[in-house]
Amino acid sequence: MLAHTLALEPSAAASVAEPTLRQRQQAFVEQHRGFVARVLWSRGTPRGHLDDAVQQVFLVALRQLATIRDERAFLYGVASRVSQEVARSVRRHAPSAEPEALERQAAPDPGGEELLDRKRARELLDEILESLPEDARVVFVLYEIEGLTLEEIAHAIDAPRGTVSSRLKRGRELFKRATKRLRARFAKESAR
Amino acid sequence: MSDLRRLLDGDGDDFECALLDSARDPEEDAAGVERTLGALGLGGPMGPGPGGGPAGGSIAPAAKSGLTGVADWLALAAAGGAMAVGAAVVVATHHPAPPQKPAAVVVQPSPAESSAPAVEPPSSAVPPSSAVPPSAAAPSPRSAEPSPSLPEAPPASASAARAPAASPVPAPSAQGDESALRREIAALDRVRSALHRGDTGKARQELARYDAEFPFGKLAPEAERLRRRIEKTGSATSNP
Repeated sequence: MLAHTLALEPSAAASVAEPTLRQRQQAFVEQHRGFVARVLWSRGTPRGHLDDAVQQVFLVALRQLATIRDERAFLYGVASRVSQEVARSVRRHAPSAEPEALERQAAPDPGGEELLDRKRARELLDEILESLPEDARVVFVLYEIEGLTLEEIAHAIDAPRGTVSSRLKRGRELFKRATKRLRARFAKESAR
Repeated sequence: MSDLRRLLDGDGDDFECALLDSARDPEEDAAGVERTLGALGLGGPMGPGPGGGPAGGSIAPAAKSGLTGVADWLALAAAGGAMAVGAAVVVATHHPAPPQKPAAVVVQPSPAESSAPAVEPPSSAVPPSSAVPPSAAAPSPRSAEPSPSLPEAPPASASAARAPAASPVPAPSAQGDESALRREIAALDRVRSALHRGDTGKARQELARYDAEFPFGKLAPEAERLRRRIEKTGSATSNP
């Protein structure tokens, strides 16, 4: 393997005056990594492929860093394309495997009793969000989890604001319906 | 027309907030950032500059209830089950973040970046093992005009960058980190418990203890989130 850095350090004086390219790249990754991973996931990238897909997105983005105007919209665009390619690749390489089986195969062993409630909550959230149609899920994740405004989402996914709004409402409705079902399930289990 | 109020900002109930809150795990975010930086060849100290703060610096939106809502429901469903938040310690101990390998990635900045210090071209490249072919990522031209081509030498996959390279026995410093992390988790658990009981005074007190003990804690984003919850809960109590 070849260890290789993205930039050489400029002189010490320059590094005091302004961040180096490497520092800007690091900061960019730190700032947006979570967003990119969640967008990829919401677009259907299995968790087991997320790290590779995230890396692909940043490989593109870091090369364009100086020209990106709206960072999240840009990253959303790249992530959407990467997620499509991942989906195609997964289908190509494992034609017989069901998506759920792939997901299970990729996910680490939960470790029996060491189950963490945050982890469990995440699993439940995944279960719910996976049941949402993709268009509603994407908007729901961007709005409710990433905190983007409707305007920002409309720009990122290139859809009218009204469409975004209606997808969000549908996503919320389905989310609430699913949480209601979960509650009922828990109540039933506890009654046994 | 203004945006709807977000579920996490008060439109969701405890259970819904707890579920949504779980999507943003500061520990996992930080570990993810490290993996990505490592895979991209950007690992190592940040040094001064923007973003030089703690890894995974993005802070989640204020959660109404944190994880207590889910814990309640899970406890209800699995009475007597070992679902305590303290299990985080066990999980953190048994599933440490995978070791990082030196990066083997070549990313050359676009022409616009060429004013920055030059990048030495590699003498060899690692064949791609990622599931994603390079042609995947031609991004939308709306926000910027990305170049149509991807790096000529695609990176080793992030999973490859995570290949085991370290001894299974944790180094003393790693053990120290685990111990500190365990104490941090326990401290924040106490804050959560107090909040869950509605005892904002105690929650504030416990959070102040956390701040004093871990001024640069790894779970600082989570502490910030709890702080906002305390403020929110406190103001809701004083202004019914």
